[in-house]
Amino acid sequence: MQDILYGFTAALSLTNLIASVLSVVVGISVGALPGLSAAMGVALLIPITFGMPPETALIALAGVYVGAMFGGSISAILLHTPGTSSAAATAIDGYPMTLKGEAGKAIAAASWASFIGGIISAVALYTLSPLLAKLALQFGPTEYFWLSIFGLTIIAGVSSKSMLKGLISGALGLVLSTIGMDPMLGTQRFIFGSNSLLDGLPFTATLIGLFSMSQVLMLAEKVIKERKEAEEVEDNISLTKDELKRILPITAWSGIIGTVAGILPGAGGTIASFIGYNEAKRFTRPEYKDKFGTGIIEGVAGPESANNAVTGGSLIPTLTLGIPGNSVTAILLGGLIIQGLRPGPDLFTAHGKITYTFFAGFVVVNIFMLILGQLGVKYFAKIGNISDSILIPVIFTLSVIGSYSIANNMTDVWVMFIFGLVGYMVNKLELNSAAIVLALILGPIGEQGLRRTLIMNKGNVFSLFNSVISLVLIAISVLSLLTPFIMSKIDKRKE
Amino acid sequence: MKKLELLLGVILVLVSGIFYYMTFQLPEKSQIYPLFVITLLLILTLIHIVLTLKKEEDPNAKTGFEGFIPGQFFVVLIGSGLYVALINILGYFTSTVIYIISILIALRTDAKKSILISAGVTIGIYIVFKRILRVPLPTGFLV
Repeated sequence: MQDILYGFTAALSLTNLIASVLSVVVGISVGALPGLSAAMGVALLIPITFGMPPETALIALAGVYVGAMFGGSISAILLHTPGTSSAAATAIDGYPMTLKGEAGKAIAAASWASFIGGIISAVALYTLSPLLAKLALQFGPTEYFWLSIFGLTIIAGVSSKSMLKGLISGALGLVLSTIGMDPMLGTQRFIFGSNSLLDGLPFTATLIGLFSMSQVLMLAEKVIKERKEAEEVEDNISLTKDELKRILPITAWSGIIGTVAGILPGAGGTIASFIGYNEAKRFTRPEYKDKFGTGIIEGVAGPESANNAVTGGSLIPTLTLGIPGNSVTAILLGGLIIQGLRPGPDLFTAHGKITYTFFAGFVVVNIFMLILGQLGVKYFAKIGNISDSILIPVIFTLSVIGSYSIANNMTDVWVMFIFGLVGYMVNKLELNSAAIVLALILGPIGEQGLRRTLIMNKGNVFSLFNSVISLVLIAISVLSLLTPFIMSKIDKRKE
Repeated sequence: MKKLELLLGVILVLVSGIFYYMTFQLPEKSQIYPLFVITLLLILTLIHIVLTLKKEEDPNAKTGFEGFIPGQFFVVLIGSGLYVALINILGYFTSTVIYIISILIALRTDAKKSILISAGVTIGIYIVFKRILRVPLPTGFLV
């Protein structure tokens, strides 16, 4: 409890407040720009947060994450082009509202819903994470091995178009994670003659390549279209009390759904927002049911609450078990590790002050998102108009300086460049970047768990199946691999 | 589409091959885990190749390369590679200014705007990375 209170006072320090405001501004801008993702923004920010105190760094990263989730809705509403895929559902009712001259109302509904969704997920973050972290106390090397397997199966199964490709992405990530030193024997593995690779692939540079430079190449391959001007916001950016009451139950319910979707690895913002939209449709007052799609605030509030609730939800398994459920939290986990913190129970005991400052900061960034989202919408809409021809060289320049500045090393820049190409091909060949990153993180944990267990038990393979937690983890791994098949069977039966 | 899927298979078999080759250069005790994950990748890749070969070609399938403009793409890619290579020779700031202006002009932004954007970005990076974060940026024979 003391740590929780301390967290709030620390989050309100001037440095942390400045970090919150700036990161939310950056996040909303990145989100508002169609073609740029939250993952890209967070990856590029890591080098800048490198020298900050850990709690400030984490708050800044969360600010970009939260801001970008909301920012996507601005271009969805004003341009009919969702800034992020999570905002696609928002466009369904958001843009018709703009055409009716109610853009301000739509933006207000989106920011209130995002705020409420975010706060609901923050409540889950506060209550569920310490519990889950306690569970992690019971984990030995064997359990960590199975946990890493579970993490891989679930993301491979849920987040790819094809499960096989998800698994291939995971396996590729595992192979890449063996680059560096053998964790048990210290042998140099696959370092291609470069001492910079002794500690493994430079994580930040790899991420910037996979998520930022790949984006540059994706933008560069197409005709550079002139963006249409964002529509003007003609009405006031506010909701009446009655309207707020109308969306409140929907946002609360969608917020819960979004939080759960966030906790489940692989589900993510896009899925959550579409479920949020459908749930809003189901739960709305009868007189509004037929109006979905014609531009009503419920249609904006449902998906926006759900996708912002994913942020807090997805932080829970990331911080407690070290399993990030999507690419943004995978990158955030990288940021955590760079700061010398490890996910797990220590975050809530030894590093409790840092963690709870971060949690309080998460609440603060949501408040700033609510305020800035409404006050700054005209400027963010202008940012959404920036041409791809400008974004291409600017993002690449930032990718170069970002990957260089972590270790002041040009090798890292080349690693970024190579992984930019890899990320581009991964996109084109429909592999899954998030699964690769997850495997890069989970690979070493799994390898150490496996090898420690075998060494401790003199090579006895059956020792991997000795504990109850291990068996449970194996069972849910198998279940997660089978889920897509079961779901498709159920779907077929329904038909 | 099928060609692209097979290309993926070939790339991954090559990657596995390279890693296999390197694994056998390692001391025996260090080979087991890498062999395990590489074999996993290879098995999954082979399943992918077999499934692709068995599948009939869908003539309407999208390849993901619709609207691909090779000229523009390779100008950006090669330009970006040259930029990274030039940093140690010309220095970080000189290369950055040249890179941004050249790419902007290549993508048909007008010259005046290109110079302004390039100056703005470079000054921004100078302030954040050089002044605030104190990153020692590479200097070649220029800055």
